[in-house]
Amino acid sequence: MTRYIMRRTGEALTLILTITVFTFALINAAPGGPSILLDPSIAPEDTERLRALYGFDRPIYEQYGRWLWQVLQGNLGFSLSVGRPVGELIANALPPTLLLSGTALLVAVCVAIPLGIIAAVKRNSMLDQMLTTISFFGLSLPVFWFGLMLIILFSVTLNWLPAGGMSTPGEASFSNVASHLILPVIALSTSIMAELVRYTRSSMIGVLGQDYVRTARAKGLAETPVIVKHAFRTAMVPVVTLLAMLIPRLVGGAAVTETVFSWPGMGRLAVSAALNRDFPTIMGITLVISIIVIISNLLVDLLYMKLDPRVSYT
Amino acid sequence: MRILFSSAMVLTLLLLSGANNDARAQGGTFSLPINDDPQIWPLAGGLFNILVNKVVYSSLVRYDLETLAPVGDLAEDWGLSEDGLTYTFNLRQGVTWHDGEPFDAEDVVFTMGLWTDPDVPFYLARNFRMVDSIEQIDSHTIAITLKRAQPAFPVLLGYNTAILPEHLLSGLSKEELTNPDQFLRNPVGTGPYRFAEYNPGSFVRLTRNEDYFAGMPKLDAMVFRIVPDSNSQLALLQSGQLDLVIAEPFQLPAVENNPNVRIQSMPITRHEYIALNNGFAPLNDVRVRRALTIALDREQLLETVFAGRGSVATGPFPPTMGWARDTSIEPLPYDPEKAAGLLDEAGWTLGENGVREKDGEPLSFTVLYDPANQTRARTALIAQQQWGKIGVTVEFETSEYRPIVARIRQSPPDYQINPNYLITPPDPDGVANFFLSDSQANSWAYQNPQLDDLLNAGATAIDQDVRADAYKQAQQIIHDDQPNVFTVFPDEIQALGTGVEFFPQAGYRDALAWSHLISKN
Repeated sequence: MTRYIMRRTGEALTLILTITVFTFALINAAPGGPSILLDPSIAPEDTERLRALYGFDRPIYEQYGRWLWQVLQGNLGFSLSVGRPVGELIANALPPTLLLSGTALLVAVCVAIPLGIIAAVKRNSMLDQMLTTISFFGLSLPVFWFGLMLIILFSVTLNWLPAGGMSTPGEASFSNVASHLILPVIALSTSIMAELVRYTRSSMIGVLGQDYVRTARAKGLAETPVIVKHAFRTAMVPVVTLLAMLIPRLVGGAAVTETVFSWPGMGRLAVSAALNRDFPTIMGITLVISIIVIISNLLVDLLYMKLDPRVSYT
Repeated sequence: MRILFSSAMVLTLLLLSGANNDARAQGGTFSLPINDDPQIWPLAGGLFNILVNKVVYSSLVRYDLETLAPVGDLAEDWGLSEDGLTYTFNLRQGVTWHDGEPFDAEDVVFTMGLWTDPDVPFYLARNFRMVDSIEQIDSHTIAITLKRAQPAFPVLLGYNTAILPEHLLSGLSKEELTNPDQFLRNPVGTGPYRFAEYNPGSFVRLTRNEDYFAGMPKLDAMVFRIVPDSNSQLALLQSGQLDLVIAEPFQLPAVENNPNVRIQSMPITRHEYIALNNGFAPLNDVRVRRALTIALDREQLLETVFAGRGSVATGPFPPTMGWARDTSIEPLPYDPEKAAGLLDEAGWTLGENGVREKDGEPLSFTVLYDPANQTRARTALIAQQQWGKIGVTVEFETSEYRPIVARIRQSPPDYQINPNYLITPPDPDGVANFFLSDSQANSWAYQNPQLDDLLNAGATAIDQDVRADAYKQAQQIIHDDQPNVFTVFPDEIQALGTGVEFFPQAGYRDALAWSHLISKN
């Protein structure tokens, strides 16, 4: 087990290094360059001077080397467009993203997994068909459109909830943040929920048809313990896989939801950094998200072992 | 005694209620959106950064709200030597920085030293290239000597610049000035609102500077909220979370009839154009350029793309440059038949497939534009349709805006046709630089020595009448040559919440320099 984790860590470090090299090369290959050099008010003759002052005239490998050296010393550099340390920007953006994504995921899991089980148990019933229709609807809603519709209905028309932001500037109380959280959570959890309902349903249907479930029923067990104790745990294996695949998407920030609702999270930061060609911020986000994704994948692999005793790592 | 006591009580209550009324009249928070995080650092550019800086810091001069002529901000007044080279600025007395330190001439000399230092990254360095020396005469007087006369100099001083506190920044190395991290955690200016709080990605909150030199600011606070999506900005305005949004013309129908929103159209120093790369044949032929202009129905463009807010452009000098404009110049009238005639004359004859040809080559252009910008994208589409009617084929190449900027700024420029816009200081000298033959900003590769002479005369003559005369002649040449297709002088569309009592009547960049006057009901 320890050897397994050490091997995975070694692989992870190589992978992270490769990712940073590729990202660095990619952002340098993208046309345009950093936006601080392309402000239309900057005279073209000043652009070259500024490029040199910021160190962008250096060979690319030298720029990468400098960046890596800084990172090894625990410094992710300064954002070109915000003028703050990248580490601080990420540290600021990560909690709002975790709050939004975590709440959305929690809501989705609490609602979708029971619904998925019900749909599987009552397969082909009216209820199942209704759930199927709703989840297809949820899957196909574009988030930017759905988000705007929520804003127009609940903020502009009914004036029940704030239209955006994480809190009213100057009053970040619990209830204030909670009221700002509702609409983006609905927007974000709808698509996750739809996916989860579909996954849980099909996984559960597969498991309910298996021999050991039939045996459990034959033993005379009531239906509820059969579903909850026997079928549920096995059925959750593919669902956990899906959740694991969702985590990077959620930690990376739900860029569209965060943009529509002006939520100060990782997704919005990443989009803004990419549009501004803010090299240090793009690199910092890539690095942090790669690490989180690799760790979460490792944890999920370990979780499989808990869920399914047949899985073991040596 | 009892009567006296009661009278005193009544008086106190009256005073208190008066104070309360006052607080209601002078209070509240004014919120406006910015699309991205600002640096709050005046040496760096970027619209969002500039907007916040206008409120936190002050300049030597700002623009009069009616005439847009420079008037004193931190400068009380100024004079010009007879040779037109030396400006003497008298600075306001009794101004204090937000940290309580007094403001004086040293701050101005220090800041202008940064603007003119080649090792300091200042994005508007070009505007101060004519500065030869900056001298402190006494604690509140400075003299700036220029290398040659530059009558637009006071205007440039007021254009998105800010005076910085010498006592907090003079100890920083030039490298630290690129990213003055510690200073930016609590930026100190002399503006009407002082820095209170910055949550990157969320908002910047500024609170009233009670010691502001030009009078008590009317609001308790100003908040710049970071809202990247323009539709979300409008939703926030309609739900009362924002007080001002600059609406795009295509958004107007969504808010025009909303009782919670008031629309205010402001002429600003901006013109929209379709840039033609004059170095690319056949755009080097004036007949082809004129044909493209008159084959485009710019009245219709104004109505459909700009919601009718503005006027058809007569050239690159917007109406805000009143004194320098030749008002006798009318936009070239829409006349596709005449356009066809011009192309015939230039040897581009209609082929069988409806496309004009010359020596076997079709008359075809590639229009480069940013599809994320609806105004420019719709302009490109309309141009394609209307130019197609006179046998000109248009293909599209789309790209993000910044790579477009990089390409049009290359020498020689790497594009054929590109719809774009220009915002400049409210002085014709600001536009002139884009039309000088040897200027790197001339990204349409247009060259005309006669125009150069006139623009240089306008840029250096001290007498305003002489300047106006030179610029009027220059406009005629530009009108004749049509280096670009000048389309529209668009108004800025300000959508204000009904809670706003007063917002200065000017483009919001200039209005924010007067933010102490903004008030809410």
